[in-house]
Amino acid sequence: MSKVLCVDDNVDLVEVLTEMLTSLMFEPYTVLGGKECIDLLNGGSFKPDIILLDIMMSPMDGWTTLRNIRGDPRYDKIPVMMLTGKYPTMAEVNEYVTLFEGYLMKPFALGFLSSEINKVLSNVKKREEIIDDARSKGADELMLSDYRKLSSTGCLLSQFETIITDGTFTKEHFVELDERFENIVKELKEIKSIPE
Amino acid sequence: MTKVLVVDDNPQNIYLLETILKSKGFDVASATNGAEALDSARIDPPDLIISDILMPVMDGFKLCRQWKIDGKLKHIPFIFYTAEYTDPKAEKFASDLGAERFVIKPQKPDELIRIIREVLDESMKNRAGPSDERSESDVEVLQVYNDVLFRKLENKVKELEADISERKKTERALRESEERFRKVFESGTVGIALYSPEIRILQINEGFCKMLGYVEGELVGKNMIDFTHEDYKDLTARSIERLRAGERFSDSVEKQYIRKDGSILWAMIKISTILDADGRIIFFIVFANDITEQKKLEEARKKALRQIESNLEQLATLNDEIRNPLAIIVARLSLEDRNRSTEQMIRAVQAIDSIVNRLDQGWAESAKVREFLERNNQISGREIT
Repeated sequence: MSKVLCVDDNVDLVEVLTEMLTSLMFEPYTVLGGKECIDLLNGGSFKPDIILLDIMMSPMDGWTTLRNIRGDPRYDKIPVMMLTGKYPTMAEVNEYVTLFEGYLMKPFALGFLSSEINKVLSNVKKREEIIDDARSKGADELMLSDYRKLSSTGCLLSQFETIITDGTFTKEHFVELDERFENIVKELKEIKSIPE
Repeated sequence: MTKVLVVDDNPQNIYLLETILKSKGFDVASATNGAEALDSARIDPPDLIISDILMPVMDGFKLCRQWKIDGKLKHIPFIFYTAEYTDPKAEKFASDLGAERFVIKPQKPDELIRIIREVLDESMKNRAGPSDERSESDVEVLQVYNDVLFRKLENKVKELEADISERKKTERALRESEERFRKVFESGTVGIALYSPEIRILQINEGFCKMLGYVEGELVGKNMIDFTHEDYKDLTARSIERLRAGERFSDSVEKQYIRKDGSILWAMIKISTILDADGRIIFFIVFANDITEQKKLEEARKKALRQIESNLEQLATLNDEIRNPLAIIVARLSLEDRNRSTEQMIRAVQAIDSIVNRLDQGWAESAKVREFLERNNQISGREIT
């Protein structure tokens, strides 16, 4: 049974979510804030398969929590779905979109929750299999982590596009993205097991 | 060498005659009135005298009278050379006085020389017996003399009057043109000022004074930079430099001035150079339009837009807050078995949700973001059922 960690400061919502997840055959865990989430992960004894993360929390909001999760190699591979009632700003999207798997808008029904979580879990499983295979064939770790980001969001290019249309695009951006993209594609082409 | 005495109160006329006579080999002496002529001739008599009529101290007629009764001079030929009067009476009078010729100005140099040579020749022949007889008595002479003189004066006065009226016309035209300029200058709707090449204020109209909140007296002689807002001093200096360098003849800037009461004047300025014939700057001329109100409106509009954006962001946050309780309700309902009352509640929630979504649409950025997330499979179409 997949372990689902819910991070939200709304007690009622968290309670109902727990019931929903149980009825969907997941193993639900909850914390009421970002700090608590990080502390739990740091403890080392608990590793969820997926994290549902609310944005509007205080004192530590969802974005900061997300950065912290991604910042620690012990648990940075755990997929995160943002669970929230507010669309992010373009600036937030630019900054964080490579860091999360999905964006769940409240309210949602049972069936939706189930399908979205399962989608993510299966994508992640497939991705990790590809990465393991590539690693065994000698692929570089940094490049693999980029690939993970690339495939998790499919939006390296979109980020490119966003920054261009937003007008915040600079030459440095171009150079960086161009390099990363080229490297990834080049290496990936050499790993024959990765599908096109 | 033959010596000629030229008598005229106008030095240019003397110079002209001198030049002509000298070029033909005559020796020339000159006098500016009759008395001077007599003095000079008595010391060193000429061979010929050419005289104007209207002169100060002693006029030509008096001179001729004196000349023709002077033992030393009476045989020397006397030519009247005058532009002032062409009345035949004057000519008769001149001849009665004993003048050899009465010549009207201006004459061609060659003609003048011809007359002079003719007169000199005649005088050579007539040296022996000049007529001392005068047909008229002294009184009659004086009468005719007065008459002629009077007519001469009359004409002179007429000339002067014509001169004066011409000048008056010119003066009036000039005054009218100045009036027109003054009307424009003082019209008040546009600020106008003249600066020296060192951008000191030479003249400034009331409109501009009012804009700045000063009276004219407080501004004339001052440097315009002193009234420019700190932030715009560089811009102004650069503009003046461009004009001084001759890069262009006029420049427009939007700038701020500090008014007398310390408040800010926003003005649209057009500054142009006025050059002399050598292309040097003699003035700067400045036209100023008060755009303070416009700028205030602009600021207000910007502020309003910022407010709207901030409101929409706040709205987005509120929407988030509304969605939480909705999520709880939906979650609860989805855990229940479906029946009529749960269906009703779900529909009610859907209605609220759609309103909240509409409010979100109003925030343009959210549409952009949703589009982006959908494209990248970050977000799927939601169902609440």
